[in-house]
Amino acid sequence: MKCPPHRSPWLARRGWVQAVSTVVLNLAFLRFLAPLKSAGGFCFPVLNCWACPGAVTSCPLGALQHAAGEARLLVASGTSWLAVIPYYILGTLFIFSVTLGRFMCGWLCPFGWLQDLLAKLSKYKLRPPPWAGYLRYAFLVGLVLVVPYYTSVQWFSKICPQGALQGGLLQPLLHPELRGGIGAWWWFKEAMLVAWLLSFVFVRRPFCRLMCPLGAIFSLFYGLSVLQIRVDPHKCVDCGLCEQVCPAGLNPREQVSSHLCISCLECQRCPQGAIAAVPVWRKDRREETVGLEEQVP
Amino acid sequence: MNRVADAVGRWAWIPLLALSVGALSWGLSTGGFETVKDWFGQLCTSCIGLTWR
Repeated sequence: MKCPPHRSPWLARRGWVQAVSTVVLNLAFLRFLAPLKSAGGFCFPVLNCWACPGAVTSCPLGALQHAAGEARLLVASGTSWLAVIPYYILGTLFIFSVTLGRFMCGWLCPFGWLQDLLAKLSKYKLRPPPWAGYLRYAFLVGLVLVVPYYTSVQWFSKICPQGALQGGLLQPLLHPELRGGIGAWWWFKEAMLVAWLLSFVFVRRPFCRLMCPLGAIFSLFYGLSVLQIRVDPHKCVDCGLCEQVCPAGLNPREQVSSHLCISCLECQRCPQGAIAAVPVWRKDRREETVGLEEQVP
Repeated sequence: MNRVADAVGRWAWIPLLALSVGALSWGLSTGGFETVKDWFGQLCTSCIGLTWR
């Protein structure tokens, strides 16, 4: 059955929200706001590289890798395990995980926005196998926690494509004195960035699905976070529109609780109002929907 | 059993949020913010591929 999509004023502005988020997180590009760069202790859990000349918030993944690397040295010097836990970073991460969860990915992440923009260049899409989504947890445990713990080297940052884009490209561009450091690893990192950028055209949100450790942390909290997405099977007429518009390449009718959902709410374009974001405490939340009727038609 | 699981699913966010706020407060009071600020105090050239370490 073919249905016209529901037009929600908020959904129509998701791209603008992502753009504003990207600008705000990189305000230090503006000369008069450059002092904000010195306030870099504030971790904001989206993929926005601190090495970007304009970044005003630090990356919690970078901070976690630093913490893991220092933990081994501190424990070896006699500091107790309880004292080396990075409470500030974990507290920040968990607050955002419990409250907004993967809405951070769908609405505020600059790298997510870049993927959404490039995805518009082609209608032909490849679909990674479902098991590939578990690679994110391997990157989280392996390259963000365990390997940095034993080597004190930030291995995830070394291969992070957002770092290659925002730091690796922009820093030498704006600071010629850094160009002397360009070597084999820089070329390798930028080649990986090109491969990722190409994949953004032909796969929906590939980085979010395959590699992002931050999304993996949010996914761990998915069933517990305040905002949940629910499908009302009684209203669904199987038109398939939600599957067509899902930037994560999911079928919301069957995968509404998938750990790969980025909570962008694009599936709320459902003309029957069968899909909605509901607060977790709402009664009968498995079947209840919230006010699409209240939105502007 | 289902009712218990449903109640846990519905209200678990409250203790989780309280724990997270507690962790953040403890982290801030023990200098977590300054520690992170120190880590990010200078450009990590090896992280962006400009040097190798």
